[in-house]
Amino acid sequence: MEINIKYFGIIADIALKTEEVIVLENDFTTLKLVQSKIEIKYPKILDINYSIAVNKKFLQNDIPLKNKDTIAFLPPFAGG
Amino acid sequence: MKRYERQIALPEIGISGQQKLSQAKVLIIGIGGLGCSVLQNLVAAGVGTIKIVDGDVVEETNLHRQFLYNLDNCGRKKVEVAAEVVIKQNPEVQIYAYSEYFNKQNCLEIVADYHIIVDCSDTIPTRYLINDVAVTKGIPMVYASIHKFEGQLSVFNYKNGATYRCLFPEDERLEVISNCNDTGVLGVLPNILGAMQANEVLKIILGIGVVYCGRLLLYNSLDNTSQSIEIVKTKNNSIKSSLINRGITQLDFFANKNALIIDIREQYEEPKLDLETFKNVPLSELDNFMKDVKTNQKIILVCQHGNRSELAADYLIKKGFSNVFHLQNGILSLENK
Repeated sequence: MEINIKYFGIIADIALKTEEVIVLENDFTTLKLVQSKIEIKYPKILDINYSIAVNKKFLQNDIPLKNKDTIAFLPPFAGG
Repeated sequence: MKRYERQIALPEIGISGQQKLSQAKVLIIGIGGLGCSVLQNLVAAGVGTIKIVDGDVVEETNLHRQFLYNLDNCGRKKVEVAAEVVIKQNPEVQIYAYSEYFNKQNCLEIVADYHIIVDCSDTIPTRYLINDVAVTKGIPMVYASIHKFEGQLSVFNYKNGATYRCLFPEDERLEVISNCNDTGVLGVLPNILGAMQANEVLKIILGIGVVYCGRLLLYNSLDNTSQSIEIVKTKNNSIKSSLINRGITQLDFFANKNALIIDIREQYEEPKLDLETFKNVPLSELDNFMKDVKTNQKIILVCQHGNRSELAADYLIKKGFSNVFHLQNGILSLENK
């Protein structure tokens, strides 16, 4: 299955990209599993307070993901 | 009124809308990139009273995005220069300049009786403080922030809706987020976002359109795309009750309409409250009584000296009531007026 990932703000600076597609071999995954995959790939994200949205809705709890779901990694911006 | 002819001509605004604007009191925290843009737009539209708050001074590196300032102003307080400039643009508005940073000590005094807070600050802790004050006062917070070529916009705490803490629960490691002093920013971006904040402020005052609450707008100026993400309201009332003074004075107490006044003293306590409508609910019965009260209902708690009512106000805030106040110095202070 494929999961679309979008990065914003300082997380995009860390990942050096604004989006990518993660391809998983199995047909079942959850938000937290994908989140930890991304944090292993870009460990600097662990230093950042960020929120996560799935299919354009912010979530704080874990949920199972479907093929082609979109996850956004969104940190607060400070600048004014 | 000739000045406003072209906006009064809009049926959605008209003379009555213009009057609403002239009666509105708007507080702008931070008068940098976002704040300059918000201020210029609100002044031009005829928002009657605007308070600007910032402790910063003008620097040459501000000039590419903060259009109220010029080279001659460098070293002067931003709020003083900004007030001088915009009052020439529209002498019909009242501008109050407060030349200190918004902090825990001065926040409630600054917000006072303002109707809307516009968050144009540039640090995350200030944004949490603005959020907490907005929630405590039951007023909306019009938020924007920027990072490089990206901007965020939302209206928090609008009609008891989602807050900044629903979007970003607090994290002690927040210091890692930088502001544009060290990351760099193109001048147009804060001006775009500031104009969008001003637009939300005007819609709230006028009661027109759809206020951008319960959603976060993400705008990217490089490819001109935007996304709207839904924010779920959570019960994360981690607002630090210690930094919020919920006391109101006798004057405010008598000026209050629509508030549910609750005398939390025991039945036998004297003097009785000399008011037409109030409830007498001793502390032991408060939990039960509050089950039928809406969480956004404005509540004023009173007791003999103001000590029990202060504790009870903190308690109700933690229980999820957002609009709770108490009478400072208690009912005995009303006797001496």
